[in-house]
Amino acid sequence: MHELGPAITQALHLLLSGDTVLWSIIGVSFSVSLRAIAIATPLALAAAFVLAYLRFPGRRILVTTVNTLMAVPAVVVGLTCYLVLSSNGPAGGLHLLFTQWAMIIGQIVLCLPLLVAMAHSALQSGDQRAWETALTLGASRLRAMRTVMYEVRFGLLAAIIAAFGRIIAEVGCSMMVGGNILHHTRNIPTAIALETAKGEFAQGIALGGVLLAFALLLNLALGYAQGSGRVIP
Amino acid sequence: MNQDASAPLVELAGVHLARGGRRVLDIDHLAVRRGQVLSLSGANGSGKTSLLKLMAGLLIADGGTLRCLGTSMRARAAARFCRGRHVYLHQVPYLFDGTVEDNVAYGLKLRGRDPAQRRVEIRDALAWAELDHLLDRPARQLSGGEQQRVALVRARILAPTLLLLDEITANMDRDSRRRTYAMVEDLRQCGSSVVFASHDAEALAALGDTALVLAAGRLGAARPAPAAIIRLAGRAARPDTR
Repeated sequence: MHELGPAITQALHLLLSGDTVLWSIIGVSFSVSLRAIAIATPLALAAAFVLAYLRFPGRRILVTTVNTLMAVPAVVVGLTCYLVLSSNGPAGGLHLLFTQWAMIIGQIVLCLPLLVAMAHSALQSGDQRAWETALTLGASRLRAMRTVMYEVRFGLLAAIIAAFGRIIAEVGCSMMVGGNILHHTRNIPTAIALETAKGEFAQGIALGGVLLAFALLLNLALGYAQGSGRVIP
Repeated sequence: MNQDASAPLVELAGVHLARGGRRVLDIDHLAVRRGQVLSLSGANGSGKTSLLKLMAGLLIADGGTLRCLGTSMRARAAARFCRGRHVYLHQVPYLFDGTVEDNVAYGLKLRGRDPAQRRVEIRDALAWAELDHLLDRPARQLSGGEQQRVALVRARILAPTLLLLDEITANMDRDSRRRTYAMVEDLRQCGSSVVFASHDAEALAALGDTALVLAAGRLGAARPAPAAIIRLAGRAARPDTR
């Protein structure tokens, strides 16, 4: 049985001493996932809006497909991306496999269905009158879309946070298409998996603590934003 | 586009609209002229809201002829033309998340009004509705009647050529109704045309020049509304001082 106390002490030491390997892993994680969410968010919001506000044939099938894609495991996304990006795959010529961009592509594919589904749900639960009011006051469709999104911004923010939570913590896809190369494509989840397999728990605990602290910060920020947006008599 | 100033603001001929596979509107002919106040009554589900939204450009007709200021337009082009010029007010108004000022400023910002001028206009408009003391209040904190009046101010400040009011006095108390009637009358004096749908006999009697009745999506023959008869009678009884 491993002793938890010394492992936690060592984890704290790693964090506070500015261990370069540890902070490089944290840097890769946030750099990759932030870029992925930054690219995925506008695409997902536009898609969610189209699904929520426009009527066209096949819309329901698309909504069902998006909801189904949410359940696809990260390793399956990783395998698909691997096959597409490997030298014999259709995008092999781009030489992206085992790079951060491969991880970004994988994470975009992973978080898009979740983002679209949650944003779609937030937009659908919003008030249709917001859209009509914006239009009747003279807003273009694009401006009215911005207004509606602002009105349901907390739901959309929750969707973005949930999607970010999914990709920063996923291991299967990053491991397959990133290759877990130190200082390059090793992120928090792949590092935890590797170190645990080696029986080195201190780094895993330190990295897990960073993830937990970050999740707490995000949720506090969301709660604060919701609180300041609420009208208190 | 050539626009005829004397032509009706909007004219519908043989216009029909279906929703959910059911025909909800079938309008043989309807013309709304400048300065006219039309009252629209009819049972629930008779198509009042659909007709108002059609004239606001929020719904697009499936067929028929639409003329805006005398120019025939395709349904989509007519809808684009009407949006922003014809302002529609919901039965329960939607106020954006923000202060009363933010709400009233919305349409002015879209029209590129500079901030200083905007603030003056907003203060004047709120004073007109006796709501200037609510300028900085969160809009959604107001009572139902106040919210409806803010929505009316938000529409009025844009000087719409046509105002489409959907049972806006339905949930108001007597005092709010009285204020709202006065505001609508004032809008007419300022040159806006108004079409208002209502079940409320008091509203119908107080406001309209011409009464329209909608049944199963079809319009009955237009007739002078009680308010117009009272106004005409008042004018006839008044001695000519010229």
